[in-house]
Amino acid sequence: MDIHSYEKIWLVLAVLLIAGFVSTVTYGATAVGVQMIDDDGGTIDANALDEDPRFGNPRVEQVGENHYAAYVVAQQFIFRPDPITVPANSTVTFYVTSPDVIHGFEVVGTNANTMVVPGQVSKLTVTVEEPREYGILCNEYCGNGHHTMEGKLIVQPEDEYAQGGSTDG
Amino acid sequence: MRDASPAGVLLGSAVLFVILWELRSALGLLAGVDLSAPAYFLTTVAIVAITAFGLSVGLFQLSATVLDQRI
Amino acid sequence: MAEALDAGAPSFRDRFPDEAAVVRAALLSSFIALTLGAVFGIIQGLHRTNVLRVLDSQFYYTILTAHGVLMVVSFTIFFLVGLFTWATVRSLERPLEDIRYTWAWYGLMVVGTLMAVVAILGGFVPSVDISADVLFTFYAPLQAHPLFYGGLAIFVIGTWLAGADWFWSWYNWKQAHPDERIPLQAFMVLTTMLMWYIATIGIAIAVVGFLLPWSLGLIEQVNPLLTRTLFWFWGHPVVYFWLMPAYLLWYTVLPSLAGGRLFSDPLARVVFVLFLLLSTPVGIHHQYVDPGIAEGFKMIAMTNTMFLLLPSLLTAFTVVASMEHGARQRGGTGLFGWLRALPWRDPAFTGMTLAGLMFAAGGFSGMINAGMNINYLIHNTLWVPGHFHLTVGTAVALTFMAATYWLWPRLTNRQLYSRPIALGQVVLWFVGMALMSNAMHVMGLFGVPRRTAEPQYQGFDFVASFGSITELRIQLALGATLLFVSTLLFAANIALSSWTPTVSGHGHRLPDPLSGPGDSPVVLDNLKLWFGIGMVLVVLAYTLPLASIVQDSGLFGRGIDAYPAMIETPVLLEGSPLSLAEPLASKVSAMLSGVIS
Repeated sequence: MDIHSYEKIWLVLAVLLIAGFVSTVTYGATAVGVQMIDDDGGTIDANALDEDPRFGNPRVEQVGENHYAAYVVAQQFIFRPDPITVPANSTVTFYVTSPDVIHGFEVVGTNANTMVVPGQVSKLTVTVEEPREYGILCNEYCGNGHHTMEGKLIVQPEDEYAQGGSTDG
Repeated sequence: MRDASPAGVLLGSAVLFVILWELRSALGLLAGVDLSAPAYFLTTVAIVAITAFGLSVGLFQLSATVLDQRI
Repeated sequence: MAEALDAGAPSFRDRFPDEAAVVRAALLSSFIALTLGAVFGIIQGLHRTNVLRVLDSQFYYTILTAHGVLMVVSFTIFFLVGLFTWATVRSLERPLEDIRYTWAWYGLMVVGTLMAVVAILGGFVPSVDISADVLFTFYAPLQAHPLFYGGLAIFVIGTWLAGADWFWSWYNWKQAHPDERIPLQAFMVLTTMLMWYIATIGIAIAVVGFLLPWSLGLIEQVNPLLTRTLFWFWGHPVVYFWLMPAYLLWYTVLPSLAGGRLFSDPLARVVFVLFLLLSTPVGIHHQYVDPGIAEGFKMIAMTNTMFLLLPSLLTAFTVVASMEHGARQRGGTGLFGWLRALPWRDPAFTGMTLAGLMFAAGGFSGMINAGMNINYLIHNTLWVPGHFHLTVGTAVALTFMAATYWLWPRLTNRQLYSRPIALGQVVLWFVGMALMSNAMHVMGLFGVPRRTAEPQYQGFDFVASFGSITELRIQLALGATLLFVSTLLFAANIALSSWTPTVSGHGHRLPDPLSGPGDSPVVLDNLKLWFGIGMVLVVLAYTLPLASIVQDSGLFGRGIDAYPAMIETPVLLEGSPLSLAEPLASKVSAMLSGVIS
């Protein structure tokens, strides 16, 4: 097959570009350690969330030295708990599920973004730094009230959080 | 005598406008430069209009630029 | 300088009048869908930016479903079947085997579309129990009326039969030409359809195996992750189903519009084979932030997706090289000066070139989407519609419109109503899309969500790192308005072309490529081999993820109820024309429920 020399150069450059893209993503996944949402969260019976010890009472609780678990339920058309309150300078693992339809869980202005699928639990671990407030929105169409579905993530100063304790839904 | 056809001027103006306008987003996102939208828009339109007008009446020529360099 | 026309040569309509009738019908269906979809598009563009709201926000989702389905199912695929019929008949130089069979599959596609559209538009009429406010992706447990799923299924079956029609032609052509290479356009049609057969496996199982019976009450629940994964099994390759007809035009028509010839036939074949192989085993890149799918499967989808950049990059080279060749044939000189020798006055040429230019931008924003971990930042934000309005919305749609300006006279033996308006139309599309999609990309980066009627929230504001959200909304609305005007100009121009004088001699022999099929390895024409490899890759990419979903959460899910996506408490604005639709719709509904229940 007769390939023009310019086309050969282009082909090599194209393959290098592709290899470059694959490497940067791999670097992000390995060296930097950005983990994707996966099947770690496990499955759940969507009709029996009330009976689940985690989602029957959506809340934030301490599970380690500086590690908190936030059990969140996304449903038509609210997030529970609202607001989700966590202390500054900590690691937070969100566990998010839905009793009804597919939702999205997006902490606005950050890369904390996951699908919420009934029957599945989304597990997402983030590091939280200085105190501030974030909006949370649902970014997957979930019914006619979808545009009203919002919540809040409040990152409190550590001493304030210690006094107030964890928040119940 | 102009060397840019009316269709070419129309098309070139559209492409120039798009490039200049997209530049604002690039500057804003990558360099954090916040250029006022109305001012930037009017400036862009002015640049495109002057270029289009100039080419149409032969004020300046495309061939005066790099386009005609021999390989 | 006019493009090279063989003056006095018989047109496609002259040589194949029956086939031209089918092609015209398919294209007209496509344009009707485009125009109706555009009306919904402008309503959306003005509504979500809070510039003008004429309906209650609940209806936004009905409109969004209609816009999505009409644009990316009806408009694109009706155009494809028309174009592919033209290309097959033209390149094999033989009429279709049985024109009644052809009208039959076209009729099925029309029936399927009408069923789905009725189901969707039923969402405007609350007193009628028919609706499909589920958006183009119809994710369970949101549930639509069975008419919706049935309509989509019938439509897809129509496309399967269309493919069979072209394979039938090719098979008979092969008997008459045993040692010849498959003509390039026919090759492109056949490889695209093979890709479609593989791709539709996912959606067929999802719709016919799960969603349709579920909406009819035959099965109680479905597994939302499973049906979603099966949707995306199809949902990615469908974009290549939209794109490959555009590539066919860029490869086989655009060079001749530029005054030249296709740079390389073999490379064109390689590109189409690569799409056949790689289009489907990448669907999981739409599910990077889905629970229930292991990261390893997402990584595989990521690498496959990155390699899918290759055929598009090769296309960029070949198309530009072919254009440069054409320009130099027309007397262009210089390193870049040859650009001036191109026929920019020709709306078909200029439209396709602008579409290709925009596609480059769309391709790169697509690479961001594909970059697994960076996807967190833009998933389900307005960035995503920004991306696909560049790709399907411009590379495909604008190419189709531009090609129509060239093709329509050959199908009708009538002149185009106005070339200057056509040229203005394509340039307006380009500028409007640049404004709209730029605003969408930037807003997406600031976290503004897609698929949302009112992205204005109570508890927080979006923070723009430059400018303001308000100005971005205005820019989006402005872009959408320009696009709507552009669509109307296209529709009007084509409609008015029904009354222009008939012209003979519109035939145009597409010139041979510089590097012909004889220069390419014969193995490229071995369709069975490539289909086989394509199937193997899909099996490798999907067996384990699907099996693991079924194993973890069951074939039918656990505890999943159906959520008929219907408006319960409708609020119609005062004097809205939709309130007039109720009495008529009730009668229609009574008829339909008599048939269905």
